[in-house]
Amino acid sequence: MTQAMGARILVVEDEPQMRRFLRTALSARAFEVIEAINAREARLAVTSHPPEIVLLDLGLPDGDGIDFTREVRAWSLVPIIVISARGREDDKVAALDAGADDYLTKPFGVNELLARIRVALRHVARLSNGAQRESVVKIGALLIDPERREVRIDGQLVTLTPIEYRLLLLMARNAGRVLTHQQILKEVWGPHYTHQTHTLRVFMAQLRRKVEVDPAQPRLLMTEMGVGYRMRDE
Amino acid sequence: MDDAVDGQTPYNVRPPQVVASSYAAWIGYAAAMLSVAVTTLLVFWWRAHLTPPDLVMLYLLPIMAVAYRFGQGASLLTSALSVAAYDFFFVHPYFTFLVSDSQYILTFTILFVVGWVIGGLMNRIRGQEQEARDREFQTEVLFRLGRDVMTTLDDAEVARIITRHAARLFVGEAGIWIEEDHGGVRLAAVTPDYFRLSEHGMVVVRWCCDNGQSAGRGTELFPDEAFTVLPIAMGERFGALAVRIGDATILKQGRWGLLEAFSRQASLAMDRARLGEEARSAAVRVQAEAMRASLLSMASHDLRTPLAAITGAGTALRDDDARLDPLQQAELVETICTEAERMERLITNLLDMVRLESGATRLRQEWIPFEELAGSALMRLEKQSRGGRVLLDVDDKVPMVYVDPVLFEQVLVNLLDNAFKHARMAELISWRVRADRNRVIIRMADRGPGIPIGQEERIFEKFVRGEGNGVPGSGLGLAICRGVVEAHQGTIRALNRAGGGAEFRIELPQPPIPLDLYPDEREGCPDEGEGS
Repeated sequence: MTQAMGARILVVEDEPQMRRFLRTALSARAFEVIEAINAREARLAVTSHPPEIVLLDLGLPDGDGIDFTREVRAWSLVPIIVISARGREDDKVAALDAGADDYLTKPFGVNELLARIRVALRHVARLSNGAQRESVVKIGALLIDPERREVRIDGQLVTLTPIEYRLLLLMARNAGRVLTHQQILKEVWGPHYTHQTHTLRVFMAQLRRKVEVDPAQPRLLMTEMGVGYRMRDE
Repeated sequence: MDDAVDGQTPYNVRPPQVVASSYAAWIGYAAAMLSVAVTTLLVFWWRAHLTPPDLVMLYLLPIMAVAYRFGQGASLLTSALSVAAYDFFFVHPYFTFLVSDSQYILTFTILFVVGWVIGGLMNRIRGQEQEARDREFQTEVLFRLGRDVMTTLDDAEVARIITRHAARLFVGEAGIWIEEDHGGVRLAAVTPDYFRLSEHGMVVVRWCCDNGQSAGRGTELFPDEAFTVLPIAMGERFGALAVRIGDATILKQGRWGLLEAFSRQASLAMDRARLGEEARSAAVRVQAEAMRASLLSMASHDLRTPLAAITGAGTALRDDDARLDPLQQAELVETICTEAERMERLITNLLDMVRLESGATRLRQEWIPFEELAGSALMRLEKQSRGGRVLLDVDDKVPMVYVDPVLFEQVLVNLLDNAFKHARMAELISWRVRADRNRVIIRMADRGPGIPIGQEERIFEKFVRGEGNGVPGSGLGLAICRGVVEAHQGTIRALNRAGGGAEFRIELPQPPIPLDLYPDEREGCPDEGEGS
């Protein structure tokens, strides 16, 4: 996969120790790191030195990170990865629904951080060449051919209902990213079904029975409890 | 009889009926006239076959009957009427009140005296009967009150039960006021809810609290008030039970004793509640103190240990860099990482526990397949599972469970983590999920060393760790499990399996599964066309 070497990362974080860790770890991986210690600096930075990724701490001294996310999302598709000490699922969902791409709870390891950055960069790359919408998606043993509307596991054809197919395709196209229940319901069922979380769960269970080797120990369709689902991509 | 408490059940014994009302008296007099008329008619019909003494005897019947049923007043009237009728119809000259033979004067007198004496006797019997019924009623009332107030130790609830009983018993309204530390009085309970006292009424209540004596209607003090205030002794201070008695006869009948007995019983109940409350808050204080102590000792030991390792390794790397070979350096770095992870787990557990205990956690129950919960829990423990698999056996009748997904996943994680830590063969862990009417039963069994005998309950307590196995842990995992399960109104217990190993058994109440769980595929979903 393409590793965007030298990509510019904006780190928005008020804790000096945390900034130091991020700067060191990311510079070592040849990323260009710019720093902001509050929302005001971050606003300046996103416009003056447009980054390819934003790492955003939610608890900023001059405002809520979620508001900043919404603001930036209004005019930019730059991936925003929220990092926060607040481990509550509500906060994660709020940030994701506001337009954040991913979420990391402090403390986290550097590998986890790099994995999320890779996923986010890949997703942007996919979005920017939208011409590939009909291209084949391949994740591990799973293969989706949107043109033929075919799904195969290890070469074996799998029969899916329309909803199961849409659900799987949505997850696969966002492989590696966490999608909230709301986001999935809105995409697959439409905007009127966003409260039917249990419906989504039923279909997810059915889908797992068809595409997972052991539906109770999924390798593809992972549950992010209280938040949503994520398709594993590596 | 149903066992409803707080004065809702009707009394078995009716409150004693009072006959003294004018209405009842008129009935008695009417009965007197009617019975004499009927007797006279019968006697007149049979007069040819009767001797004069028989005639007199027959008149004794209505006198006795009326005396028995209606008391002395009516029986005297019956006697008088009987004498008059006997004289008028059966004594020569007939159909006049004149008497030709003076012997009849004696007959009249005897008839009258007999009526009077029988009436008096009957009155006494009736009085005793009434008294017995009163006593029975009083016993029943006090028994009920005593029984109902035993159901709770909450003094506000006790006060409420007392006022309910008082309002029913005295067919009126009742309220309890309690003396406060600073000298004022506060309202503890009223029945019905709108019952309040006037400004002046409150003065009487305060007087009663200050002096510990009854006041108001039926007493010498403030007899013009519409209500009666009885003192309730509560330790060194007093409360006041104010009753507006709707059934005036209760006071008239001199049944003051019932009121006093009632207030005595109320005093006992309030006192018991007060002492219970004191004992309970003392117990809570002791428990909080113990909790704080163990929390502090845990924080100082369990948090400092990993911190010490991190500090040691970190400073070694910083200060002794030159003297460490690459292998040693790698070892120190590894120490920092694992100890930091351990600290994180401890802190997460501590925060979870505190959140659960403080009630800050709001339960968000949703329908979720048990499979998904188990899968997610296993996923989180991928590292600890050492490649072990878990046997999952879910009843087809349990497609979904109704739980808070985040909290319940934590329960499964903690239980699994426990099993992985203790069980030698991780692959022998099994989950079984069964439906049982309106409950779901989740059992997790392993083939580990099991639970030390007698510790089955203790392991759910905070900061209690399995003994002698050297397995690190916060001693909070199972306490959190119990906290979460109990927040779901469920139960969790641990037992040892036959053949070795432990079993944890969770029972949760479940609402009926909603009908819209399996919506129509087609609904709201165009067949073709893709989302972005």
